Amino acid sequence: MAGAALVGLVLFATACAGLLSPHDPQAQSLVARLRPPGSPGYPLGTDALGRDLLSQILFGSRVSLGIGVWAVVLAMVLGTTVGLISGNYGGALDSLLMRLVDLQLAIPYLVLAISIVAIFGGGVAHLVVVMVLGGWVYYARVIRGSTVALRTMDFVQSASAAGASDVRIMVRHILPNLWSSIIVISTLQVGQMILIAATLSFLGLGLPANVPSWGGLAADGEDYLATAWWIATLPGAAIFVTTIGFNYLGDGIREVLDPKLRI
Amino acid sequence: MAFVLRRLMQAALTVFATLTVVFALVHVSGNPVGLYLPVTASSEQVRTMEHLLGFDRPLYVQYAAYVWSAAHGDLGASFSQSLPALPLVLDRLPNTLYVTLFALGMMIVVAIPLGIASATRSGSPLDFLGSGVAVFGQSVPVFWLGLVLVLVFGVNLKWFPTFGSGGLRHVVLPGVTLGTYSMGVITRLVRSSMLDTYHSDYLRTARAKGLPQARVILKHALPNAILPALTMIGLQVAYLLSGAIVTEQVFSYPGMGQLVLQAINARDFNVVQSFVMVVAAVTVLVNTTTDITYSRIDPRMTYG
Repeated sequence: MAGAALVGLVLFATACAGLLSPHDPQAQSLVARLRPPGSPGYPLGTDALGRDLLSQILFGSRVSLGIGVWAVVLAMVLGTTVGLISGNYGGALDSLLMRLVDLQLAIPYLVLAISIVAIFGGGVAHLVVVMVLGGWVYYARVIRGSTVALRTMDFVQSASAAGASDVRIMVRHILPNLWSSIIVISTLQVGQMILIAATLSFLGLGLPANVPSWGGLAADGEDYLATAWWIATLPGAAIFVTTIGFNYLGDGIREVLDPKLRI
Repeated sequence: MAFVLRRLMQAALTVFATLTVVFALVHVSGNPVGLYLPVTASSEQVRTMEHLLGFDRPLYVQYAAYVWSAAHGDLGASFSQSLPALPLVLDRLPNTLYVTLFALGMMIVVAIPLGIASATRSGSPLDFLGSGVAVFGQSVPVFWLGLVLVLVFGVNLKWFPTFGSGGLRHVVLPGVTLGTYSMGVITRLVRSSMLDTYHSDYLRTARAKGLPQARVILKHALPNAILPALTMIGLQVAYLLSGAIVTEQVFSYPGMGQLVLQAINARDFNVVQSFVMVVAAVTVLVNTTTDITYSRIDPRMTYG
């Protein structure tokens, strides 16, 4: 419930960013530089260029959440497809695909992300690719294991005996039984993707400087930590609240869908 | 012995595969010379650099030369510092290891006992603390935690230095920042594992025999419950080494992570490549050691 409430609040704020923002997030005002939270007209203060922090956080949520959700959707599609194919066909194809998964898991994720950014450069598209590369392996592993188990079930054997094609069996018979796992993994991954995107942006390896994002806002505030602590810490707090909301929501969904986890 | 040899072979294969992945990434990006020259380089400069770096040779020749050089510890030279890249990274490795070891220490000294206490005192304040640490650790942005710690303990309270290296006091804040996520993971895992074990028949028998609770937990439950956590601690080393990049950025700590960020900004790809290989090698070493140790503790684990 707490998770759903937090996520709902964040989604509401994201959707209504235009209505809730007191200022244009990019509007600069030299006379309003470095105003602390609670200043008249600036509830969360301003940054070094006099831009309203609340407005930047609200509009930044659209970028951060949008990238996080897109990355999860693409990782889900890729990982689920690989897991279904691997679990359904088995044999050499299964071994090859799972070795690819193992190889990727053997390379620390941030190291892989940094290598890709170092080679291909930053930007929204590359950031999403990096995040998809980090996320698909978990779907592939879980879906593959479940597919292997489901293939032995009578309803799948019957469909096969009735002449259903492999694709039909995977899509119409096996996949519907995997949705609960996919939903749980996806909900938990949204929070992790937002963290990854924010971290890469904080390091200057993610989004361009002119694209507002929570990680970028925190990076901008690092130089003013001693004199204007709110610039770096409040965007980070927004990330924390969003991530914890999605983690609680994912845990809650998992408890609902798996009775053995209800303590 | 066969298991140990198999794991060592797998470790070598993993390092080799990482080398291949890095080589493939460099060449998939197009002309790899672009990684070593500014975008304004002339076509003459590009041709000269191609010949200098051997990129005008057939791909399989480049790959063979690359693997041969890597096997001899030669991962190219740093363009920004005109020095061999690998020694530059290895010079910074001890500093990163200090922070990593501190974070590992947090996992062992704090997370494991907290996970055990949380599981054995279900519903108590300790259980809520354990669950809270687990959720907090896995949700908090590492860079944000670092900034908050700098602000509170460095700038306001002045208990710890906020940048640089030079002793244990310089390692505390970066170590706590780096270790919080892993602490959350291990607390959760130990709690879950202890909960699974705590209600087993053999523990019920031990209690029925009149053994004290401490003995039941430490001598009977813990050896079985701790095994998944041991594996996870080994896996967390990879996360800690790579996560040091963020921590060292926040604390201006002179480790491998700070060096690799500078290398990316300077388009010094050989240093980035050397960093990737050092992290992969240390990760493989730790995981292989963990697996071999695990197999000594639990002989059922001598699988392929």
